[in-house]
Order: sequence, then C-alpha cells, then structure tokens
Amino acid sequence: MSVKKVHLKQSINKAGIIELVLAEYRIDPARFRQYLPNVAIALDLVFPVRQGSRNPYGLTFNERQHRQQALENIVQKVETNQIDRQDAIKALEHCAVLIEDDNLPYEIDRRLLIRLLGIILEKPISEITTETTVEILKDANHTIVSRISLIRGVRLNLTQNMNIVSILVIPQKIKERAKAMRFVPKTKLAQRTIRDHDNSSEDNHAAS
Amino acid sequence: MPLPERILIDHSAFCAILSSDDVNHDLAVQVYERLIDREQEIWVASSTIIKVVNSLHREFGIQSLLDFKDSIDGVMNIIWLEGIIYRDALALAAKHAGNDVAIDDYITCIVAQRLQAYVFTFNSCLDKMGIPTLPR
Repeated sequence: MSVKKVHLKQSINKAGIIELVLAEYRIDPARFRQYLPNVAIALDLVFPVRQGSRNPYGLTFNERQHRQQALENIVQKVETNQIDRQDAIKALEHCAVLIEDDNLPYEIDRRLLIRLLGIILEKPISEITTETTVEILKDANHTIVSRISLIRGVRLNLTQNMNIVSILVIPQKIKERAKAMRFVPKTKLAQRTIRDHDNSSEDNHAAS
Repeated sequence: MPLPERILIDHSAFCAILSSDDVNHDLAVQVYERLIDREQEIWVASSTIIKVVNSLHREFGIQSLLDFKDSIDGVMNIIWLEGIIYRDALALAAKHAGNDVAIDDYITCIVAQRLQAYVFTFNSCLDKMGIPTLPR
C-alpha cells in the first residue's frame, strides 16, 4: 500500500466518507443519480429537494409593496404593544412570502421575529428545550406544501396560500446559529483588517 | 427574485465579515446572518478557506484559526477543488485574456457555475461575468 493510501485511510473516518458522498450528491445530483441511482433515491428521502418558489420570477412590484406595507402596519402595532396573536401570525405569513421572494426588509430583524414568535407561542422560544411543533391551523385538511426557515431552528410549515399550518422549533438548530456567528468580530480587537495582508483582486466596491 | 437555495461565499465576502473596519462590514454581516437564519446551503471553495485561515493565522494566531474552523463546521460545505476546475478556470482566463480579472475569480466563476450557486461577494467582476451575486 502506498504512503498516500495509508495516510488517506488514517485521515478519513466513517463520517468523512458520508460527508464526501453527500457533497457529491449536492454538487451534481444528476450525475450522482446516473452512477448510484438507489443511493440517490435514499438520499432524496432524507434530504428532500427544497420546494421552489411558487413563481420562479418572484413577486410582482405591487404584490411585494402590498406585503411590505401590510407587514409594516403590524410592526407598528408591536411597537405600541397593541398586537394580538392573530396579528403576529399574519405578520409571520407576510414575512414568509417576503423571505421566499428574498425581499424581507432588513428592518425586520431577528429580534423582532423572535418577539412575534413569542406572542404566537405564548412563551419565549428560549424556554423551548426540546423539538416542538406548534399547530396553528387545527383543521386537518390543510396540507403543508412548503417550509420556510424563519430564523435558524424555527421553520414555518405553510399551505399553498402561504398560511402557517404549524411552527417547528428545533432548539439544537437555534444553538447552531451562535456557533456559526462566533467568528464574526464583535470587539475592537479584531478591527485590524486582514485585507492588508492579501494580494487579492477584490475591488471592494460599495454594494448597495 | 426567489430566495437562492445555494450560496458560494468568496474571499471578498469573508474579508468584509472578518474586518470590522471594512466599508462593507455591516452589510456583509447582515447578509451572512440571513444565510444562517434561512438555513441556505452555504458552500466555500477550498482555495478560499486556505486564504482565510492563512490570514487569520498570520494576523490573530492559531486560536482564531481553530475558532473559525469550529464556527463553520457543519454550517458550510467545502468544495475541494479538483484539477478539472483549475483547467476550466485557465481556459476561461485565456478566453477573456486582457481583462483585469484574477485567476481566483475565474475559479469562483467556474465553481459557482458547477454548483449553480449565487456568489456572496463584494467583487464586481463576478457580476460582470454574468454570475448571480449577493447582496443584490
């Protein structure tokens, strides 16, 4: 056995192999399916393809404006503490539509979403310690056709009309967010730019 | 436009996230937070990771490098660049000879096409090459 092979054998554990297979499946599912159709079918069941937008072109200008305005009206109620549970549900439904359209205004930040969730769940999400599904539409006739991640660890299950059927809270995923944000600098300590040391071609244009 | 399912983060975006005095820092953090919250599929090319960890190591020491690795584990997928990607990037560079574009950007372009991903970048040349980018 060559040195390279011995090294590879030592460095790749079972989890590493699974990760490699998954990466291939995600990068080029069509090619993966060609060579390993049965594995692809099994993976489809575990990692269902995300439901696409109902409209591949997104919302029209008027639809977007209507949703944003309606959301803003409810947000104003939050600021004056005049919001009830139904308003909060409606607000999250507007959010879901705007998220799917990738046009949720930046003013609708995580703190506000958590506040709306608290009103709906009738307790802060920090008090939920195990995976929990909260039913919103009790009627069994409502079919879930899409899922939107509102914040990491909180998923909205939605009908065709983007009404919330239920809210799934996964505390483990919520914790993942803090981990993912850990490398983002918060103190002056990390203010020195790393760009100075790179000879990269970035032109650092101001994006807007 | 509908929410992109798959995002490739390039070096300029990492620079903006990591450097709090970068002109794009606040926007970069906002976009990154949203990618994390929307549980979008995040990808990074191995060449980008190497550049970032190299800079972190040199600037802030081994602990920051280990923290970075721990932070992205399970959150980002790494695409390990194969020879074929370099070959395609060189071919693209040859096709656009005379343009002031670094080979790294051609690699990002090829990887983005292969992944069918939007690129989270502050590098305008990717936009010019017709690659869909974030922030919009």
